[in-house]
Amino acid sequence: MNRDRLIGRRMFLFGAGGAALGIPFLPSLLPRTANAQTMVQPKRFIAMKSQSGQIAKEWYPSTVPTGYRLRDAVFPDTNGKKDGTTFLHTALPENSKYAWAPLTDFAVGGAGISNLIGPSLNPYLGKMNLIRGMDFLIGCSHNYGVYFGNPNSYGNGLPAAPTIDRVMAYSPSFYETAPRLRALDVGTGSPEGFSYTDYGMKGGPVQQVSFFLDPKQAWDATFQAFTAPSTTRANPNLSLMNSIYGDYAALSKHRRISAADKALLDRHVSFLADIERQLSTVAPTVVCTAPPAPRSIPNGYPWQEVSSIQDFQDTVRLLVDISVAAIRCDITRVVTFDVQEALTNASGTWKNSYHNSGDIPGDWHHFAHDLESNPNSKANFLSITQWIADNVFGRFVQQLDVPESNGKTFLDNSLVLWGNELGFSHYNTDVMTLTAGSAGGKLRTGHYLDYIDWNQSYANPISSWGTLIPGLPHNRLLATALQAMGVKPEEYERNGVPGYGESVFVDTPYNWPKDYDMSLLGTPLPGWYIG
Amino acid sequence: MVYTLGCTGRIELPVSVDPSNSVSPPDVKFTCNPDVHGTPTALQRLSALQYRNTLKALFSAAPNFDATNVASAQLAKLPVDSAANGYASNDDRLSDVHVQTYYNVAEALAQSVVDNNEVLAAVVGSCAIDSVATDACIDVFLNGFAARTYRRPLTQTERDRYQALNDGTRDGKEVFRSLIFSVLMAPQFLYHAEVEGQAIGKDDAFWVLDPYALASRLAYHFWQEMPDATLFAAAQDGSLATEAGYQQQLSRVVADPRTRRTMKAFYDEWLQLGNITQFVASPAFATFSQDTTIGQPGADHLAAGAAEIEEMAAYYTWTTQGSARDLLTSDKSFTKSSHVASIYGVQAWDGTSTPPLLPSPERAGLLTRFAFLASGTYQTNPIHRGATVRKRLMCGVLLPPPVSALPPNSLAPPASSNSLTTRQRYEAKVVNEPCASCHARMNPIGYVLEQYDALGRHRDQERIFDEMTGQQVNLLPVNATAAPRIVADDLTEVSTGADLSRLVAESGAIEACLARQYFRFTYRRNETNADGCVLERVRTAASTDLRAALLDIANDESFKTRKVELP
Repeated sequence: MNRDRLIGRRMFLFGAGGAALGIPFLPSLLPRTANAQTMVQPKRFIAMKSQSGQIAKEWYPSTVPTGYRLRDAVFPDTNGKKDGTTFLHTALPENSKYAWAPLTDFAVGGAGISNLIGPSLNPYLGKMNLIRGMDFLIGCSHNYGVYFGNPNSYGNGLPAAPTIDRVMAYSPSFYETAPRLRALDVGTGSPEGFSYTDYGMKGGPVQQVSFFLDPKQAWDATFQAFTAPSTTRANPNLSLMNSIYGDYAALSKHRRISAADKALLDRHVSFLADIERQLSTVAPTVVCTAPPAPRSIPNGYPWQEVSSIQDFQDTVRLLVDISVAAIRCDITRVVTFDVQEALTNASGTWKNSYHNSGDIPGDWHHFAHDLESNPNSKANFLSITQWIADNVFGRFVQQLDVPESNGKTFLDNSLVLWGNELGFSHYNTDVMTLTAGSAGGKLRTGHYLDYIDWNQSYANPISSWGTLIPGLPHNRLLATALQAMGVKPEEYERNGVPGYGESVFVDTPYNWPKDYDMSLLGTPLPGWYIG
Repeated sequence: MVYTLGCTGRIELPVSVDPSNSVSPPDVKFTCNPDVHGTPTALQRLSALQYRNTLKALFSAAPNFDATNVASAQLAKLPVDSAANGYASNDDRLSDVHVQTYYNVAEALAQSVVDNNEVLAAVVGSCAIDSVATDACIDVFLNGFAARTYRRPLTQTERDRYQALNDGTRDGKEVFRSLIFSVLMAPQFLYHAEVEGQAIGKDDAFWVLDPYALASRLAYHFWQEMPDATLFAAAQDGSLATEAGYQQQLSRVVADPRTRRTMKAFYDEWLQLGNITQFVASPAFATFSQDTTIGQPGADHLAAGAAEIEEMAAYYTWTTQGSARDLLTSDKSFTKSSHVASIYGVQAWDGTSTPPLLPSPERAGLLTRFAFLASGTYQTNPIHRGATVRKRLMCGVLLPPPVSALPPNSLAPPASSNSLTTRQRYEAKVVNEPCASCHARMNPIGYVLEQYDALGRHRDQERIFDEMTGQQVNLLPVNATAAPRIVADDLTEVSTGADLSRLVAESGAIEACLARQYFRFTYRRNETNADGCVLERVRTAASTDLRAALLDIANDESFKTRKVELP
């Protein structure tokens, strides 16, 4: 298909001046290249999730660079605040209850900023944020989609909601025109990932998205049809679209078609036009190179069935690289990566470990439950996160940090958001959050942001994992991510409730922090969101 | 976590009911204004079920070619229709994924047909196998497969457009691939177009459906699929437009087994059978259920419980002339499962002889059956049970309360207690306003049903468990006497499930509710005040004859006409 024919087809549909059928002008029917002329710099969202929470003093900085003290020294007599992590002494200008520090302050002597966030990420610290104090308002155990905004989990009775990656993927503010692929979903372990979709239809059923585990399948979904225009034979269905449009035009013109019916047919035609555009051989809007088709590596599912450690390493590397290539070729702007299986090197020999709630010895989940009494389990638990930091988060960051058209890097124009299903132990406070990218300048970077108000009297010790001192509702992180990606509140808010995510306390234990300022649920996080 | 229903919510009525009648007066009926004709309706796409069934039927002429199997990978991407508006078929949303799926399915099926000469010959005609497509062969296609896909003969304009695809740039098979692909993408296939027919009066926005659209109405309502050859023939020869011809086809359609399949789906969705799909395992549940066969090989209590309700509905609809009240008050056991029968203390029904009687006086009526009582856990929830009666069987609308108006923790379930019964815990939870007045219409229904545990077993005492250890920590007497206030201000106390069912039946709400629910299922939308005549017609029939009620809707003017809102 060429541009003139598409314009001609639109004229055919709408008649002279676009008025014959009374159908409103549809931006989606514009040729992609024409739209690109006025399009703002695209943003990308890379969502990552791992499992079973974290240990505070391993995940957060717990060293004492010059000028810093451990919390144990600052709060010597306060039970629950002595968690072994570094105390941040500089108040956040936007809200003095919270504190911040440059991430680079903790990369001393070539070491990583924490035990788990290692030195391989040091070159990117200026583009990262470590965020502390994100609390779920719902109490939940292991789950798929809570971190990214679907509160429905294991029969808790809450209505399911699409995760924010899908809110973005169906937002006309995020995608001005229909993309080749709204999102690419990959992961390890199980095809049941954290992403949930309503296909952009608010209030409709929400379905769990199936993830690609095999890099060949991920490549097929993204690059199989992505070949140079000169070598492509036109899809035979392209030549049939005029006839099909004719049927819709005829029905739309019928004297007994109401305005609402016309709008429905118009919507249908706009989706047909998206398909037609995808069938065409219009070159991508950015220069890129499709990666070679990888071999099929069908490991990772059923659980534990990894053919070899090398295969698993190749799988993860390829899944990240294909995802980044899909972003760089503008095939998609949303990638989700669910890490349900990872590698551990705690024993000096690489082993794979699946997150299995069956609590099978040797599994990630079992390591988490066993770590307080078993140093070996703890070592494996930590090694898994170190591996993910280097090989998934770190590789995304490295691969994305290359220049693109606006003088910034792909990473600069992206938000890479790594979260977890849980906080500390089975609690849902202080859920780990590591980010990279400024979403095109919407987010401040390079900071360790601590949203826990350590002056609060409320405190509840949770063994060696961490604390239950309240931070801020995680809803605000979701709102920050959505707004940073350009999604408007009216697009994502539901039932008039500000922000995103469950807005009431649900199934929370009696000792749960409950004194959040709920009037701010829809307000982006201070110190991070620039706006 | 289980949401308790809100404490400052309201019980409201559907729009078509006179609010002065409240939710459950004994004489619930609808007002039929013969001067009001129909409600403007919208263009509807085929539901996901209709789309699948129609694909299957369209290609049924080809031996060993099941279109839904051939395109199973593509169909798997079709979004699930939401029952958020009551029934899955009422989901009228259209997403890019719908259209992409239609495209993928059309592409896959068209290619699969032309890849197999035997299938191609069966679907189009033997002439289609030739290397060059002739105009005559395309006419065969347009008169056959295309007309079935459009569910009416094609207009000359449509025929010309399809003939034009044979412009010499495509070989024979590509012509037919293109044709099959194109008609499967057409709005006349994917939507219920229903725009042709004789106008009623001067208003072109209200008309009698033409025979082809009427054939589709019958087929899609009673079968959830496209008309068969007999219906097409009746539309083509005009007999469907006559009263005698219509009745003949209606009787035939209703007698077809596909109608029973559809009505089973209606009862399933109305009564929300199958909503609980599994038991929530816990140490407490293990102890609670240890003297049952739950978890044993071959035991599927939840499916068997739902099946019993389906059997009961079929029995009173098709086997004997039953009424809506029979559904509510029947004292017969319809379960064919020995597992559920053992909970009732009866023999499993063989499906053909007279169903065994439930033990009296402890059990009778819909509200005392396993499917209604099982919660999926070891605990009952009186609010849920009461709300289900109000919403599903009486069609009351329970509006959730504004969260901001509630005291802290209002939506959390009452705390566990070793010394209080479930009833006592829930009574304490809603004792104060703004909770008390609204919950007085729900909770007492659940309190009467406290004589049945969370597996539907009759009990005089409630066992209290430690959830974590599973140990039974107490045994407390059950108080199942309460005033359910089925009819507003009626403070009659009852203490058996049978008496509770009787009160609901005597309120008259069940017939009216069935009429509303069946209307929504039939017309794929909610009723309005203009629909009083058809609602009253179904309600009246349902009070004596369920089969007549389900059939007679097709004799109403609303079934044979359509109205739209034109600018």
